[in-house]
Amino acid sequence: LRRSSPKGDRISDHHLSLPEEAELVRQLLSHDEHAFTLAVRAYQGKMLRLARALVGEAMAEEVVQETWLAVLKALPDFEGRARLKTWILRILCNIAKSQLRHEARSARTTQWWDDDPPGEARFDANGQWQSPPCPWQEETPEALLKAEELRQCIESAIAALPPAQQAVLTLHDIEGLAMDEICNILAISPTNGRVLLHRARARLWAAVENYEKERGC
Amino acid sequence: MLSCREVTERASDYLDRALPLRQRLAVRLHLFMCQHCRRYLRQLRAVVIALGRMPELEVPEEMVRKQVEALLAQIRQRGG
Repeated sequence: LRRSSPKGDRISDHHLSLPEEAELVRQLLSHDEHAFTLAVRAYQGKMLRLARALVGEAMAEEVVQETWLAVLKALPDFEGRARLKTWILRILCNIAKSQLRHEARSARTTQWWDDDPPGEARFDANGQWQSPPCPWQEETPEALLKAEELRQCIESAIAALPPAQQAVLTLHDIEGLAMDEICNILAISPTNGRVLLHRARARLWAAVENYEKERGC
Repeated sequence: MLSCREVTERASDYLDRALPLRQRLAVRLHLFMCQHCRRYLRQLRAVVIALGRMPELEVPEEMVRKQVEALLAQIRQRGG
Protein backbone atom coordinates (compact mmCIF):
# COMPACT_ATOMS: atom_id res chain seq x y z
CA LEU A 1 0.00 0.00 0.00
CA ARG A 2 1.23 3.44 -0.78
CA ARG A 3 0.19 6.43 1.17
CA SER A 4 0.46 9.68 -0.78
CA SER A 5 1.11 11.72 2.30
CA PRO A 6 2.02 9.48 5.18
CA LYS A 7 0.12 10.52 8.29
CA GLY A 8 -0.60 13.90 6.78
CA ASP A 9 -4.28 13.61 7.45
CA ARG A 10 -3.94 13.18 11.18
CA ILE A 11 -4.47 16.18 13.37
CA SER A 12 -2.71 14.60 16.33
CA ASP A 13 0.39 13.88 14.28
CA HIS A 14 3.53 15.86 14.94
CA HIS A 15 5.07 15.15 11.56
CA LEU A 16 7.85 17.59 10.92
CA SER A 17 8.95 18.72 7.46
CA LEU A 18 12.66 18.49 6.63
CA PRO A 19 13.40 22.23 7.11
CA GLU A 20 11.47 22.14 10.39
CA GLU A 21 13.53 19.13 11.38
CA ALA A 22 16.84 20.85 10.53
CA GLU A 23 15.76 23.88 12.53
CA LEU A 24 14.75 21.65 15.44
CA VAL A 25 18.17 19.95 15.41
CA ARG A 26 19.89 23.36 15.43
CA GLN A 27 17.80 24.47 18.41
CA LEU A 28 18.38 21.21 20.24
CA LEU A 29 22.11 21.64 19.77
CA SER A 30 21.87 25.05 21.40
CA HIS A 31 20.00 23.38 24.29
CA ASP A 32 16.81 25.32 23.78
CA GLU A 33 14.25 24.12 26.34
CA HIS A 34 11.27 24.78 24.06
CA ALA A 35 12.91 22.68 21.33
CA PHE A 36 13.34 19.79 23.77
CA THR A 37 9.65 20.00 24.65
CA LEU A 38 8.70 20.01 20.95
CA ALA A 39 10.95 17.05 20.21
CA VAL A 40 9.75 14.99 23.15
CA ARG A 41 6.11 15.72 22.23
CA ALA A 42 6.76 14.75 18.61
CA TYR A 43 8.66 11.52 19.17
CA GLN A 44 7.84 10.15 22.65
CA GLY A 45 4.70 8.26 21.51
CA LYS A 46 6.48 6.66 18.55
CA MET A 47 9.44 5.73 20.75
CA LEU A 48 7.20 4.19 23.40
CA ARG A 49 5.34 2.12 20.81
CA LEU A 50 8.57 0.73 19.38
CA ALA A 51 10.11 0.18 22.84
CA ARG A 52 7.03 -1.77 23.94
CA ALA A 53 7.35 -3.92 20.84
CA LEU A 54 11.01 -4.64 21.49
CA VAL A 55 11.30 -4.99 25.27
CA GLY A 56 7.73 -5.15 26.57
CA GLU A 57 5.60 -2.76 28.57
CA ALA A 58 7.55 -2.96 31.83
CA MET A 59 10.92 -1.87 30.44
CA ALA A 60 9.69 0.43 27.67
CA GLU A 61 9.80 3.74 29.56
CA GLU A 62 13.30 3.05 30.85
CA VAL A 63 14.52 2.34 27.30
CA VAL A 64 12.92 5.57 26.04
CA GLN A 65 14.56 7.62 28.79
CA GLU A 66 17.94 6.07 28.08
CA THR A 67 17.44 6.73 24.36
CA TRP A 68 16.85 10.44 24.93
CA LEU A 69 20.10 10.70 26.88
CA ALA A 70 21.92 8.87 24.09
CA VAL A 71 20.29 11.15 21.50
CA LEU A 72 21.44 14.21 23.41
CA LYS A 73 24.99 12.87 23.48
CA ALA A 74 25.08 11.86 19.81
CA LEU A 75 23.22 14.85 18.37
CA PRO A 76 26.37 16.79 17.38
CA ASP A 77 27.21 13.84 15.09
CA PHE A 78 23.74 13.80 13.44
CA GLU A 79 24.45 14.43 9.76
CA GLY A 80 20.89 14.56 8.48
CA ARG A 81 21.41 11.63 6.11
CA ALA A 82 18.38 9.90 7.66
CA ARG A 83 15.26 11.54 9.02
CA LEU A 84 15.61 12.57 12.67
CA LYS A 85 12.77 10.17 13.56
CA THR A 86 14.54 7.25 11.87
CA TRP A 87 17.84 8.16 13.54
CA ILE A 88 16.22 8.33 17.00
CA LEU A 89 14.36 5.05 16.49
CA ARG A 90 17.59 3.36 15.40
CA ILE A 91 19.30 4.49 18.61
CA LEU A 92 16.30 3.22 20.57
CA CYS A 93 16.51 -0.14 18.85
CA ASN A 94 20.20 -0.51 19.72
CA ILE A 95 19.54 0.34 23.35
CA ALA A 96 16.58 -2.05 23.49
CA LYS A 97 18.67 -4.87 22.04
CA SER A 98 21.52 -4.37 24.50
CA GLN A 99 18.93 -4.22 27.29
CA LEU A 100 17.55 -7.56 26.08
CA ARG A 101 21.01 -9.09 26.06
CA HIS A 102 21.33 -8.16 29.72
CA GLU A 103 17.95 -9.70 30.46
CA ALA A 104 18.98 -13.19 29.38
CA ARG A 105 16.15 -14.75 31.32
CA SER A 106 13.54 -12.74 29.52
CA ALA A 107 11.23 -14.89 27.42
CA ARG A 108 11.15 -12.13 24.81
CA THR A 109 14.76 -12.80 23.81
CA THR A 110 14.00 -16.36 22.86
CA GLN A 111 10.83 -15.35 21.02
CA TRP A 112 12.59 -12.66 18.98
CA TRP A 113 12.41 -14.72 15.80
CA ASP A 114 9.07 -16.37 15.96
CA ASP A 115 8.76 -18.62 12.99
CA ASP A 116 5.34 -20.19 12.70
CA PRO A 117 3.51 -19.38 9.48
CA PRO A 118 -0.02 -18.49 10.57
CA GLY A 119 -3.22 -20.04 9.27
CA GLU A 120 -1.79 -23.24 7.76
CA ALA A 121 -4.78 -25.27 8.95
CA ARG A 122 -7.15 -23.20 6.82
CA PHE A 123 -6.01 -24.81 3.58
CA ASP A 124 -6.41 -28.34 2.25
CA ALA A 125 -3.59 -30.47 0.85
CA ASN A 126 -3.89 -28.70 -2.53
CA GLY A 127 -3.59 -25.28 -0.95
CA GLN A 128 -7.25 -24.36 -1.51
CA TRP A 129 -9.27 -22.70 1.25
CA GLN A 130 -10.68 -25.31 3.60
CA SER A 131 -12.08 -22.69 5.92
CA PRO A 132 -12.46 -19.54 3.78
CA PRO A 133 -12.47 -16.01 5.22
CA CYS A 134 -15.86 -15.16 6.69
CA PRO A 135 -17.56 -11.94 5.56
CA TRP A 136 -17.17 -8.97 7.92
CA GLN A 137 -19.98 -6.57 8.70
CA GLU A 138 -18.07 -3.80 6.97
CA GLU A 139 -14.76 -4.34 5.25
CA THR A 140 -13.43 -0.79 5.36
CA PRO A 141 -10.67 0.78 7.48
CA GLU A 142 -13.16 3.39 8.74
CA ALA A 143 -15.48 0.69 10.07
CA LEU A 144 -12.59 -1.13 11.77
CA LEU A 145 -11.55 1.99 13.66
CA LYS A 146 -15.05 3.23 14.41
CA ALA A 147 -15.90 0.43 16.83
CA GLU A 148 -13.93 1.21 20.00
CA GLU A 149 -14.02 -2.40 21.15
CA LEU A 150 -12.59 -3.62 17.86
CA ARG A 151 -9.86 -0.96 17.95
CA GLN A 152 -8.90 -2.20 21.42
CA CYS A 153 -8.90 -5.72 20.04
CA ILE A 154 -6.45 -4.67 17.29
CA GLU A 155 -4.22 -2.95 19.90
CA SER A 156 -4.18 -6.15 21.99
CA ALA A 157 -3.39 -8.25 18.93
CA ILE A 158 -0.46 -5.94 18.13
CA ALA A 159 0.80 -6.21 21.72
CA ALA A 160 0.58 -10.01 21.50
CA LEU A 161 2.76 -10.25 18.36
CA PRO A 162 6.27 -11.67 18.72
CA PRO A 163 8.75 -8.75 19.18
CA ALA A 164 10.32 -8.77 15.71
CA GLN A 165 6.92 -8.90 13.99
CA GLN A 166 5.60 -6.20 16.28
CA ALA A 167 8.58 -3.96 15.60
CA VAL A 168 8.35 -4.31 11.81
CA LEU A 169 4.57 -3.79 11.78
CA THR A 170 4.84 -0.76 14.08
CA LEU A 171 7.51 0.88 11.96
CA HIS A 172 5.99 0.03 8.56
CA ASP A 173 2.23 0.19 8.93
CA ILE A 174 1.81 2.51 11.91
CA GLU A 175 4.78 4.88 11.54
CA GLY A 176 4.88 4.68 7.75
CA LEU A 177 8.64 4.04 7.42
CA ALA A 178 10.01 2.48 4.23
CA MET A 179 11.18 -1.14 4.40
CA ASP A 180 14.84 -0.24 3.73
CA GLU A 181 14.82 2.20 6.67
CA ILE A 182 13.28 -0.50 8.86
CA CYS A 183 15.89 -3.06 7.84
CA ASN A 184 18.52 -0.47 8.71
CA ILE A 185 17.00 0.22 12.13
CA LEU A 186 16.43 -3.41 13.08
CA ALA A 187 19.52 -4.79 11.32
CA ILE A 188 17.54 -7.40 9.38
CA SER A 189 17.53 -8.36 5.70
CA PRO A 190 14.76 -7.06 3.40
CA THR A 191 13.57 -10.65 2.89
CA ASN A 192 13.20 -11.16 6.63
CA GLY A 193 11.52 -7.80 6.96
CA ARG A 194 8.88 -8.68 4.39
CA VAL A 195 8.23 -12.11 5.91
CA LEU A 196 7.85 -10.62 9.39
CA LEU A 197 5.52 -7.92 8.09
CA HIS A 198 3.34 -10.42 6.29
CA ARG A 199 3.08 -12.71 9.32
CA ALA A 200 2.22 -9.80 11.59
CA ARG A 201 -0.51 -8.59 9.23
CA ALA A 202 -1.88 -12.11 8.83
CA ARG A 203 -2.17 -12.42 12.61
CA LEU A 204 -3.99 -9.10 12.88
CA TRP A 205 -6.33 -10.13 10.09
CA ALA A 206 -7.07 -13.35 12.02
CA ALA A 207 -7.70 -11.32 15.19
CA VAL A 208 -10.23 -9.10 13.39
CA GLU A 209 -11.88 -12.13 11.81
CA ASN A 210 -12.17 -13.73 15.20
CA TYR A 211 -13.74 -10.55 16.55
CA GLU A 212 -16.24 -10.55 13.69
CA LYS A 213 -17.18 -14.17 14.41
CA GLU A 214 -17.39 -13.88 18.18
CA ARG A 215 -18.31 -10.18 18.43
CA GLY A 216 -15.55 -9.85 21.01
CA CYS A 217 -11.81 -10.35 21.49
CA MET B 1 -1.88 -21.31 -11.48
CA LEU B 2 -1.24 -20.21 -7.90
CA SER B 3 -3.10 -21.94 -5.09
CA CYS B 4 -5.09 -19.96 -2.52
CA ARG B 5 -2.37 -20.59 0.05
CA GLU B 6 0.26 -19.20 -2.32
CA VAL B 7 -1.89 -16.13 -2.95
CA THR B 8 -2.29 -15.44 0.78
CA GLU B 9 1.46 -15.86 1.24
CA ARG B 10 2.02 -13.16 -1.39
CA ALA B 11 -0.87 -10.96 -0.26
CA SER B 12 1.21 -8.52 1.75
CA ASP B 13 3.78 -8.04 -1.01
CA TYR B 14 0.94 -7.67 -3.52
CA LEU B 15 -0.67 -4.88 -1.48
CA ASP B 16 2.68 -3.09 -1.12
CA ARG B 17 3.50 -3.53 -4.84
CA ALA B 18 6.60 -5.45 -3.82
CA LEU B 19 6.00 -8.43 -6.14
CA PRO B 20 7.85 -8.94 -9.43
CA LEU B 21 5.56 -8.33 -12.43
CA ARG B 22 5.09 -11.99 -13.35
CA GLN B 23 3.99 -12.93 -9.82
CA ARG B 24 1.80 -9.86 -9.60
CA LEU B 25 -0.03 -10.93 -12.75
CA ALA B 26 -0.35 -14.50 -11.43
CA VAL B 27 -1.99 -13.17 -8.24
CA ARG B 28 -4.32 -10.97 -10.32
CA LEU B 29 -5.36 -13.92 -12.46
CA HIS B 30 -6.13 -15.97 -9.36
CA LEU B 31 -8.09 -13.10 -7.78
CA PHE B 32 -10.15 -12.79 -10.94
CA MET B 33 -11.41 -16.33 -10.40
CA CYS B 34 -11.45 -16.76 -6.60
CA GLN B 35 -13.90 -14.86 -4.46
CA HIS B 36 -12.43 -16.16 -1.17
CA CYS B 37 -9.02 -14.72 -1.96
CA ARG B 38 -10.61 -11.48 -3.18
CA ARG B 39 -12.31 -11.22 0.20
CA TYR B 40 -9.03 -12.01 2.02
CA LEU B 41 -7.20 -9.29 0.10
CA ARG B 42 -10.00 -6.77 0.68
CA GLN B 43 -10.04 -7.46 4.42
CA LEU B 44 -6.25 -7.47 4.74
CA ARG B 45 -6.07 -4.13 2.90
CA ALA B 46 -8.66 -2.65 5.29
CA VAL B 47 -6.61 -3.84 8.30
CA VAL B 48 -3.37 -2.36 6.92
CA ILE B 49 -4.96 1.01 6.12
CA ALA B 50 -6.62 1.08 9.55
CA LEU B 51 -3.21 0.54 11.19
CA GLY B 52 -1.88 3.65 9.45
CA ARG B 53 -4.73 5.66 10.91
CA MET B 54 -4.47 4.41 14.46
CA PRO B 55 -4.33 7.27 16.95
CA GLU B 56 -0.88 8.16 18.31
CA LEU B 57 -0.10 6.80 21.75
CA GLU B 58 -1.21 9.44 24.18
CA VAL B 59 1.75 10.86 26.03
CA PRO B 60 0.75 12.73 29.19
CA GLU B 61 2.18 16.28 29.46
CA GLU B 62 3.62 15.23 32.81
CA MET B 63 5.77 12.60 31.08
CA VAL B 64 6.92 15.15 28.49
CA ARG B 65 7.85 17.61 31.26
CA LYS B 66 9.78 14.99 33.24
CA GLN B 67 11.66 13.86 30.16
CA VAL B 68 12.65 17.43 29.26
CA GLU B 69 13.76 18.06 32.84
CA ALA B 70 15.91 14.92 32.75
CA LEU B 71 17.56 16.14 29.55
CA LEU B 72 18.20 19.61 30.94
CA ALA B 73 19.61 18.09 34.14
CA GLN B 74 21.97 16.00 32.05
CA ILE B 75 23.16 19.10 30.21
CA ARG B 76 23.75 20.96 33.48
CA GLN B 77 25.64 17.97 34.86
CA ARG B 78 27.92 18.01 31.83
CA GLY B 79 28.46 21.70 32.34
CA GLY B 80 26.83 22.53 29.01
